[in-house]
Amino acid sequence: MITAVRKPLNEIIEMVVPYEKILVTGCGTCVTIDYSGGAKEAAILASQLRIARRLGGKKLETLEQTVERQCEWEFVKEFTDHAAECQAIISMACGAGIQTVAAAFPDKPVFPGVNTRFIGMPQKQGVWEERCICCGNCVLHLTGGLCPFARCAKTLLNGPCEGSQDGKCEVNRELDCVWQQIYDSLKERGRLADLQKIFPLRDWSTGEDGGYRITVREDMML
Amino acid sequence: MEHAKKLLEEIGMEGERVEMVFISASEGKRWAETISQMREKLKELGPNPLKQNRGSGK
Repeated sequence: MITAVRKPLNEIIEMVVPYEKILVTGCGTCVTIDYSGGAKEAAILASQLRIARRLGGKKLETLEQTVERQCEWEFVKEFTDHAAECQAIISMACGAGIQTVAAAFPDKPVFPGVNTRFIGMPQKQGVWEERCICCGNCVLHLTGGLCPFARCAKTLLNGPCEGSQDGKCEVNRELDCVWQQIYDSLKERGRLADLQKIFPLRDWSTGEDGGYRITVREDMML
Repeated sequence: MEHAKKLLEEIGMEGERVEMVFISASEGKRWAETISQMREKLKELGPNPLKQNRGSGK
C-alpha cells in the first residue's frame, strides 16, 4: 500500500485562505487503510477548516466526497458536480491521486491534504514501514524476501557495511540492518549459498533515475 | 477521545471541552458529580468561542 500522513493543519489552512467554498476529497484505497485520507479523515479535515475559519470570524463552506481511487480517471470524474460548485479542491489522496485530480480539473486550484511517504505495510496497528522503492528490477528472490534498496540506508547490494552492529543500522540504531536480516532469512530458508553471488553494478535506469516511467501493455489497450 | 481532544487543540480550542466518562445507570451520585465537575470546568474555560464568531459556514 501507499502510505501518507496528513499535512499539518496550519499548512492546509494557509493554502485555502483565499477561498470560501472548497471541495475536500478523500480516496477509498490506500490512504483509507492507513487512516490519512479516507472519507473519515476528509470529514475531520473539513470540520477543522470550517471551525478554524469561524474562529477567525470568517466563513468557509465545504463539500466532502470520497471515491474508490483518486488515481484513476473513471473515479475522479465523480467529483465533477461538486468541483463545479467549489472554488478549490483539497485532495487527500497520495501524490498520484492528487495529480490525477489536478489534471482532471485544470481550472481549479488543487491542494495536497497529505504528504505521501512510501510503499509499505502496516507492521502493527498504527505503525507502517517502508518496503518498496519501485526500482523496476526486483531482487527479492535473491535476498530472502527483504529489499535492500528500501531497507538499507545506503542501498547496498552486496552485504552489510561496517556500520552494521548487533543487527542494527549505523544511520539509525532503532532500525534493523536489512543485510543482517537477509542473512538470517536466507539461513532459515537453507539458501545461504545465494550470498556467494556477487551482484554486478546495477542499472538504475529502470528506477526513477531513468526519468518518469511509463508502462505500456499493448494487450490491454483498447 | 484523545484524538478528538487533539483535533480541538489543533484548531486552538481547549481539548478539555470534551470528555468521555463511563458511568453505570445505577451510579446516579457519580453521574451528578461528574456533570457538576464538567460544568465547573467549562465555566473556567469560558463560552464556546464558536458561538461568538458564528459565520455562515456549513
